[in-house]
Amino acid sequence: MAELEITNEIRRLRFEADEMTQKELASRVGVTRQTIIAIEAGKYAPSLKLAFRIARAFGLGVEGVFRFDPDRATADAVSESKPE
Amino acid sequence: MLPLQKVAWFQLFVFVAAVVVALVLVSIGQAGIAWSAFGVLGLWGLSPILLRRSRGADGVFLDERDRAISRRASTIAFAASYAAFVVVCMASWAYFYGLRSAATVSVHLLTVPVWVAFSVVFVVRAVGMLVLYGGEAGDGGA
Repeated sequence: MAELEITNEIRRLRFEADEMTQKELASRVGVTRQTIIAIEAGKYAPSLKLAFRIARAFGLGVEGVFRFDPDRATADAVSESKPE
Repeated sequence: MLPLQKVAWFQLFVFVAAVVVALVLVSIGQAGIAWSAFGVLGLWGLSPILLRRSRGADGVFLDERDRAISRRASTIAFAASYAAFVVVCMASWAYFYGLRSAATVSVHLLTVPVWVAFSVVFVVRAVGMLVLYGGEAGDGGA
């Protein structure tokens, strides 16, 4: 399964924010805890709106929480187009 | 367990129950009324009640990821349902007009492709949601 090319620092930021729980963050941004788990694990890329909400929950901009990793995107594209 | 996962499991349970009832009717020599066992599928109509009861204490019970998963599973289910509908229609046509050289078919047969398509759309959507909740990478779309 290809990983998403968007990485995030949510786990670290939660820890630094007084060890905020996933449930607390979920409650603040209006999603379920499972969605936060999926985002942290890189299994789900949030919408722009949710990304802004999460960033605001930490008092940061979107790029302070999420990063676009073009190398990973390129690596995925190359591995998918590579013949067997 | 998330509300949509509960709904998916409920729908699969109802489908399995309908199949079991049909098989039981066939096994006791009531094959003629075995089709009626699929009336159990009407219980799928109770799914919204299950959703309403699953509302969490914080009020969030369906978020954008749930909607994205539901949308993707519905797309897959619609495609599978359409394929099943066409296959059943063409298979019936080939069987009755080709193999059996029937001049006419019973009007009751016309309902079969419809309920097969109906069943497939629910079952594939339920399985699809469970698989997608299982960890496939996805995105928020918007």
